[in-house]
This record gives sequence, C-alpha cells and structure tokens, in this order.
Amino acid sequence: MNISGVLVHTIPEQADEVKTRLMEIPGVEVHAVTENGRLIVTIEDDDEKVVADKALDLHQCQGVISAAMIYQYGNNDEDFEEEISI
Amino acid sequence: MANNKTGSILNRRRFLIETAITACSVSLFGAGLALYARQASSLPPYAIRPPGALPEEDFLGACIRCGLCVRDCPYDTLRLAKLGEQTPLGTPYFLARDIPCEMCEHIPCVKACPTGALEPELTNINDARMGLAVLSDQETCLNFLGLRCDVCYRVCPLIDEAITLDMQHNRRSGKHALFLPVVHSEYCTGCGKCERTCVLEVAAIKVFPKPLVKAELGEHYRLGWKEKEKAGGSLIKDVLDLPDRMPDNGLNLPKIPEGL
Amino acid sequence: MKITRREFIKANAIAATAAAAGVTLPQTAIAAGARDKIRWDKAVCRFCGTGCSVLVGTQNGRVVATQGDPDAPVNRGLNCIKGYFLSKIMYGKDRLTKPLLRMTDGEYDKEGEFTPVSWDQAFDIMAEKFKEALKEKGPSAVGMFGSGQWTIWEGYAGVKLMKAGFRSNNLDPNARHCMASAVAGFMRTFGADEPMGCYDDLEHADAFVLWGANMSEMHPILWSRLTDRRLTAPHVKVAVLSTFKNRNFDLADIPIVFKPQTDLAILNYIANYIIESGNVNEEFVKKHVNFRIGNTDIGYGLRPEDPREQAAENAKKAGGSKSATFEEYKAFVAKYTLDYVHELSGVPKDRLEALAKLYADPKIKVTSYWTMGFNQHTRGTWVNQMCYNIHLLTGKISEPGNSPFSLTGQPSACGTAREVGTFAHRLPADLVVKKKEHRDFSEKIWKLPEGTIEPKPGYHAVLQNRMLKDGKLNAYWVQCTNNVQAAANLNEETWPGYRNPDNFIVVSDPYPTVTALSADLILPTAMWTEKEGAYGNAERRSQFWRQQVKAPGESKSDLWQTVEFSKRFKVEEVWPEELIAKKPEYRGKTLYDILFANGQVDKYPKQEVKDSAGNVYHNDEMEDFGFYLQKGLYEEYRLFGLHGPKKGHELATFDQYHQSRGLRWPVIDGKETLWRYREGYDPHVEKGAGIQFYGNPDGKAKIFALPYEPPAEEPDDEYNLWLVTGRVLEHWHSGSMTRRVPELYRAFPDAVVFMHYKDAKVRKLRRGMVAKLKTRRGEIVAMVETRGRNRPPRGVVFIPWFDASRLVNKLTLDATCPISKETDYKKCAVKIERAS
Repeated sequence: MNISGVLVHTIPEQADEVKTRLMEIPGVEVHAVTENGRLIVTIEDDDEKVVADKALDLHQCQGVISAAMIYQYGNNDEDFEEEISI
Repeated sequence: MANNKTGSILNRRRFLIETAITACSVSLFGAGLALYARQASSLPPYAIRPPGALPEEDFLGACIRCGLCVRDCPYDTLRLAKLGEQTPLGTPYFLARDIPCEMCEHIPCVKACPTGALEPELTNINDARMGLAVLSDQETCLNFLGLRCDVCYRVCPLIDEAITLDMQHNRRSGKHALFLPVVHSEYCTGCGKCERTCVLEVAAIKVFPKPLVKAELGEHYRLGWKEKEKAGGSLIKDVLDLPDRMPDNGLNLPKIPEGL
Repeated sequence: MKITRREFIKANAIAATAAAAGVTLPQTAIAAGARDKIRWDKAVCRFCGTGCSVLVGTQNGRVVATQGDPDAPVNRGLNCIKGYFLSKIMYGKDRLTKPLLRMTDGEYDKEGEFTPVSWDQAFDIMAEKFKEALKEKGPSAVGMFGSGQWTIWEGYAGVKLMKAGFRSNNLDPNARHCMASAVAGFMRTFGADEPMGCYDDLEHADAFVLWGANMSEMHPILWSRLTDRRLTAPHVKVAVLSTFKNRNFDLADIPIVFKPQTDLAILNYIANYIIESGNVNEEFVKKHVNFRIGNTDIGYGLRPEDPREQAAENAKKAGGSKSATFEEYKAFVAKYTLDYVHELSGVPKDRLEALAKLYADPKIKVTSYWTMGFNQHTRGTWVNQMCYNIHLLTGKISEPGNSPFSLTGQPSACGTAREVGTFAHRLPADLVVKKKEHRDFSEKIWKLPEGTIEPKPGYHAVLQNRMLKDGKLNAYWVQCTNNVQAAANLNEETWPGYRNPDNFIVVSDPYPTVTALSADLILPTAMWTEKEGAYGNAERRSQFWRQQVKAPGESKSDLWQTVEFSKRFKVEEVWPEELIAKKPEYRGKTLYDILFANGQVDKYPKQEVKDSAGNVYHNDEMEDFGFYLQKGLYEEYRLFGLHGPKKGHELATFDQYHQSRGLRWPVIDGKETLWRYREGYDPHVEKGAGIQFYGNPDGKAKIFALPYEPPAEEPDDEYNLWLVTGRVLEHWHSGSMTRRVPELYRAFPDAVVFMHYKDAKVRKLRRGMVAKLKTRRGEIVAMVETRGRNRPPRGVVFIPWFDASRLVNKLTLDATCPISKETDYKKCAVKIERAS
C-alpha cells in the first residue's frame, strides 16, 4: 500500500477544470484548491497502477504546470482497514 | 512489488536532482569561470584532504589534479572534486561521514603522488594530520547524556590516545558514571572513523580542517604543569619548605587528594 | 477518535502537502494531534543480563521510540548503544512472515527449496515427523533447543511439552553455552542456583575483582555504576583479570593479563595466601563451611572415543568428590605458592600479591564479577567454585559489598533457563529430574500420573548436536536462538547433524538466521514486545511487559507455537498404555488438554489487558486460546517456588509484576530480598543463625579442593596461537538483531581479528590485511586489527562471533567442562597466515 501527498501547481484560471480531470483518475483525490491555483492531492495505488505511474499521469494532465511529491508512505505489512485510536 | 514501486520513485527523484545539479553547473559556467574559481578556492569545512597534504594554498599549487592518489586508495575513500562542487575542481578530498580514511600503514595515496602535494616524508600514518575531530554537539552526544555508546572511542584507530574517555560522576542518575569522549589533537590524524560511525542521525563528532577548529593559547601564558613536565622537574630549584606543626593526634587528618 | 489506518495515513499525506502549500486544512489537526500521541508502557531491554528497564513508545501499531526508564533502579534512564536502538530491532527488512518448508514439487524434501506454507501444513509435517520419531525410537529421538532469551512462560511451556508431554528430557537452552558452569558451581557449593547478592553491591564494595568479565563492553550500564563507585569513593580498588587487555583496563588499579587457563592456579594461590597470612575467618568457616576434595583428571567433555577422554582417569566421574578437613584443604593449596603461580601464569608477583591482599584484608569488602571467562572454560564449574572458596574462607559473602557475583549474559538466562529449569537435567525452581521426590512433586503440580517424567537427564546442548549427527535425535525444534552460528565445531558436528537426512529440523525465528537457513522448516516468530513477556535478570529481578504491537504477517510467538503444536498429539500417540492406565480420564485427550487446558493454566478467562492509565493492549495468545495463557502458566509455575521441596524461590503474583518495575526474589511478605542467606536480609534464615546456606540440607556451603589442570588444546608448533572468542558492545550475540540496525552495522560491520602487531608482522600481515584463521576443524578469513579496543599479548588473538559472514564456530573446539557441559569458547589453538 502506497499513499502519497502531491502538491499540484496549475494555471490558476484552469484550477477547477484540472481538479475535475484529476478526480477522474482512479485513486486520485483532490482535497483542496488554494487561491493561487494549487491543488492538495493524494494518490493511492490500486491493482492497475502504482503511485509513481499515477504521479506521471498528473504531469500529463492539461493545465498542470508541475506536481511535487510531498509525502510518501509505503508499507505492505499493515492492515489498512483496521481501526486505530488517535 | 513494494521494492519496485519505491525503486521507480527513487529513480525519478534522482533524475530530478541530477537535472537540477546540471542546471546549476551550467549557470555557474554562465557566471564566468573567474568567479567560480574564486568561490572554490577555499576548501569547504567538510572536505578533508588526503594524508600528507601540504597546507591548502601550497597544496593547490602543487596538486596537478592527476587523480593517482584517488586511483590507489584501496577503500575508495578519496574522490576528485567535480565541477559544481565547492572543492576546487579536480583536487582529491574525502567526506568522513561517507568513507573515512582507513589509515593504511603503507599510505598508498602518498606514494602515488607524483608532485609532493602529498608530502613523501609522511611514512608513518600516525603522523598524518588530515583534520581534527571535534565533539561538536555535547547536548546530543549520547555519552554526555550518560548512555553507554562510546562508539567513536572504540572505533578510533588511536584509541586512548586520540580519543580518551573522561570519567565523571553522573549527578542526574546519582550512581552511574559519564564517559565523556575527549579528542587530543596531539594524536588525532583526522581519519574520520569517529564521524563515520557516530550512531546519531547527524554526527555529534565531526572532522574539520585543523586550522578551522584548533584554538591557540596566548604566547604570554604557559601551563605550569606542562613546563614542569618538559623540564623534568620544577623550573626553580632549592626552594625552602618548613614542616607543618601538628598536634600528636594530627596523624589522622584526612588525606588531601594528591591529584594525578 | 477512531479512524482506519488508511484514513489516518491519508490525513498525514494531506497535512504534509497542505503545509508545503502554506495552507491549513482540517486533516492537519488530525495528523498533528496524533503525531505526539505516543503510548508509553514499560518493558525490559531485549539484550544482556543487566536487565535495564525501558519505556516503549507505540503509535499506530508500531514501536516508534524507546527510552530508558528514568525511575528504574538498575539503569535510571540510561541505556547502552544497543538499548538505544531497541525500537529498530523488530523492523529489519527481511522479517519472516510465513512458515517456510523445504519442498520439491509441492512435497517436503530435505534437499528442497524453502517454500511458503500455511501454519496447518507446517504443523502437519512437523507432527508427522515427531510422531514418526517417537514411534520408532521413543522419547529420546525428539528434542528441543531453547533459549535464555525465551520469556519465562515460553520456557515453562517448553518444559511441559517436552518433559511431561513427550516425556523427553532432551530439552536444553542456549544458556548451556553461557551459564551452565555458573549453575553447576552454585549447586555444588551452595545447593541453590543464582547469586546471593544484587547490584546494590556496586555501591557498597571497597574493591571489585573482574575475573574474565569484560563489563565495559558486555554489561555497559553496570560498568558505568562500577566506574562511578570508583570515581566517587577514592579508596575503592579495581582489579581486572583477562587473557588480553580490554577496555576494563582503563579503570584497573591492579591490571592482570594471565596465560589462558591459569586463573585456576591464581585462585588457589589466593586461597593459599589467605591461609598463610592468617586471614581465614575461622569462626565463619567453622560454622558455615564443609570441605571436600573433588575428583581430578576429569577430561574435556569431548566424544568418548577422543584420546583425551580415554586418557582421563575420571572422565565418567567428573562430578565426584569426597569429604575433607580444613587441614587437608590447606595442604592441597599449599603448593600454589607465589613463585609457582607467577611462573605458570606469567603475572608479575607484586600484582598477584596485591590481588591476594584485597581478598585477605578483613577490612576490605570485595565483590567479584565474572561472566564467560569463567563459565566458558573446560574447568568452568571448578573455577566458579574456587572463587567461592576465597569468599567463604574470608566470610566475605551475603552482605552488602561482599559478594561473589556471577553476571549473566542473556536477558533471561536466570529467569527462564535457570529458574524455570529448561536444562536437560532440571525441573522448575532448582528441582532435578534425577530425584524422585522432585519428579513426584512436579507430577503432582502438573496433574500427571506417577512416572511420567523420565529420571535420566536428556541430551545437553553439545550432545544434541552430536546425537543429530549420529542419527539418534531425529525430530528437533530450535526456538529463539542461533545455534548453528554459536555451537562450537560447526563443520564436524552441527552442520552434519542438521543436514543429516534422518533428521527433521524446525527453527522458529523472526529472521532468516544461519540456523533458520540450516533447517527443514522455518516458523516465523513474534519477538520482544510483539508478545506479552517476562525476563529475569542477573540479580534475581523478574520484569514483565505487555504486548505492545502485532507481529508482522503470520508470525506467532514461541509460546503460541509450542502450545498450539501440543494439540496435534493424542495421549495414546505419545504415552505407553501403563502410564495412561494410571489416569484413565486422560484417554482420548490431546497433550494440549492435559498440559494446558488442565484447569490451572486455563483458569483465567479472556479479559482486557489494561494498564493503570486505561490503555488496552493486545494479547494474541489470549485471543487464540480463549484464556489468559501467560497468567495461567505463570501462576502454575509459581506453585513450584511456593510449595516445592527447595525453599527460597517465592515469586510475587503475576499482577504484581505487571504493576512493578521488577522484583528480586524470593518475594516474601510483600518484600524483595537483596542479600540471601544472611539473617535480617533473608527471611529463610532462622533467628540467631546469622548465616544459613539453606540450599544444602545442613545449611553449610562447601569449599572444594580443586587443582590447576591444563586445557584441552594448547598452541603447538603448527597451530601456534591461542584463539579467544567473544562479543563487542555494538552487537548482541550472533548479530541477528543488531546487525539489522543500520547504525550498529556501520559502527562495527564485520568481525576483525585482534592481534599483537608483532604476531602480525612475523606472519607478513599488517593491520587491514585479510588473514586466514585455521584450526584443526576449519578456517575463516578476517581482517587483521592490531590497534583498537582489544590488545592481546603476543601469542593470543581475539575475534568476536557476531558476524554471520565469517562463522567463528568453524574454528572453535567443542570441548566442555565435563561437569557443566558448557563449551570453552576461550581456548583453542589457531594458525594465522596471509589469505591469498
């Protein structure tokens, strides 16, 4: 299981369009759009594609200037559906 | 699978970093070689010269950037400065945290040097003074905190000479001792084994070029006990000392510690 | 607040990304709130016998940090460098997560490749092989090798399964390699195992004598206490004895490097000096001591056909002795004069005298420490006893500061191997299989028919490997130890034994150690705080911990494995009819029903494990078996100490240990015991007796007259150096945990051979060159070190054994103390030359 946090820079005018496009990629979620057109995005891998490849997909997306990997978590040994107290 | 995934990310990251480095170097060229040369003429504090290196200015004059010392280093300790690094281009150095000097008895790097930039007179590796180890962070050093690490001490090729442990009472625990590592410049060759093996995330003991870290006592003051030791006795002779008058039972006075 | 782990990780990802963008989102609060929310609970360090208390920090099901417990009496918040990295030992990249069986085309094959199988498949083949061995050859064909790093209940469950279930005494712990001589010494002299004193001696002694204990590296935190005593009380003296200069010598007032094996002579010289100088504490000796003369010429525990055994007069009666008088003892040690012992040992006379004076002077309180220098010795039992002799002659024993103290190597060599009695000849609480009274008592506690426990001691560690090789031990289970890297003479005994086609070898381990890879079936094992546990340290302190995290994958604790495996055996498959006939109600039952679901062990129902702050902990065994297995086993085991025939082993309750930072037994009337055998300190000593060594029926200790005898193998013209093996501070034993911590690996990556530079030079070797070390049994290569921490004199070399890439046990000789059966890892002959 890999989960990454990615900061995506867009052309500010196209930010909302980019958001819609990104949301169509499986495993990609957009959590917020900042005023100057940056998107807070998480990517999870699935059976089809791994995080790294999906990160490349972000780059290909129209309106994206850059995508910076900020946070990366990888571990195959844990039960991800287990409830934990925080 | 997991490894492959991380692998591709890592490779990508490396690619990005390397691209960034190339970009930097190119811009350096753009800024003009003169400026670059001036910037790089002083050795950065983390770069350590091979054993027997002449004082930095002379060394830069004598070193012909041939790379033979690097070739002959059996431990891949030495490397040649590349364009874009702070160290003057083509000169040999090492980073203690990466690969320290293993202090080969036959000193192959010095033998390989065709110009004497590494002094051929250096035949005993113990006489090398590549740098000086400094315990630069006493707040984080585990031994200063009372733990029993002392890895730097035990790994020191000149254990008990270049690094000793100063034993002191641990006032916090009340019943343990602190073993404080102390570096002695008289013996430290600057090989960097201590910095390499320091178990902390960032080393608490580091090797620096000696001129950068070694203090100097003022010419106007001498250490009495050192001078006495040098002279083999007191510097002034035939001093009068009268016995102390004691009551008869005075023999039981507590003994004053004599010191070392 | 409860969320899934996936949601939590995502919150972290969002928070970090948002932070990079300079914005704040709700997830930031979740991540930040949890970041500092580490749950802290107490545990004990996984490594040496010191028993430092630690606090374990857990977050999201992972141990993320540890700290020394600042309030623990042993270490007051301190750790050595191994303890500093405790949080990393469970997370090596190559943790085993599935049972692995050697297979070819889907079938078990001794020569096959390791293939993942289910636990069911693993236990199927294992049960088949154990049943086959039991059926064909009886209980002597099955065996188990356990550990001084087992938790107390793991050892106890092992004893029950082997000695009561399979009726085989072929159970021995790796503590045979480290503490057996100490045990035999205690039993022969005092009739009761383990030290009379405790660590508080460190703050009371006027002099410390280190006999083959490199405390500065092997017991780093105790060493720091000893050093502090030396620093803060200037009158304190420290004597250090070793066959090479080690870091202890930094503190030594009396440094002594002696020729290997001559510690025996030095001890007799001291006894002689005490007598000659009129410093025998006559009143003490008269009231509290008996004298005996031990059998001599007892051989070296080698195979019986070895010429050295054939030549030894008393090889078969090594433990024999006859009673004697003080006068006879005096005459016996009289030949150990200063001149003779100086000649033999090579130690300067003034140092020998200075050492003897420390013991002889009635005003000086002396604490003696020893570890493997004494124990791993072909006369290990003797040398332990000879040290007691000088403490007994002077009455310097069982009071603060006057203490002969055997330091343990492993975290629970005392708690598990010795107290639980996982040795081939023992039962819990100092009982032995040989004595009917002891067997009867054990059978009563365990609700077994009379005659279940075999009276004959089983195969000890060294013999197990020989019997594997000889094909007499065929189904064999190794838990929690790396014996293929540890046991001496790998090439001639261990390896052929493990790979003997007649044998089925099972190894339970968290990591693919050399031993695991030599097995036929590997069982993935939960370690340290992945299970609820208890260890007993060198000063009789038992310490408990709760399960902090889940083990990875399908790993299960040794305890689970042992208990679960017992379900596979119907009593009819393992016990003869006449035994079952004595307990007909056991008919048709499994060993699990008889040993563990026996109304005692399963007495405590499933419950929440909670600390005083209300945190709830996992207990995977309770989950699986449906009752509080650890508590049931412990409380049953505790009956041995409370009601057994050997007094002085009272333990506190299970719950008390979970509440405390460890307690020193015997725990009586809610109080710990610091010094045993002395009135006022030890409640077992009768009023007015002053001292009672109540392990022996007459309450007296025994002074044994024992001589110097040469070692099994000495350097000669060809193999012309002494080889000494041992450890380094950075690594624990075979390195299976510490070498997986990158920082520790970097600190001491590969074993090097420490030697005198002149010894190197005459062999055309220099520091940093690769040398070949060769003995009559095998060879390895290692880099030469002529500088550094250890400085052997000419003629001696030292090499640590942590390095799996150069197996030092190819070199060592499997000669043992014939009484304790513990191997001498400190003395054999080696030849060193340049590796081509």
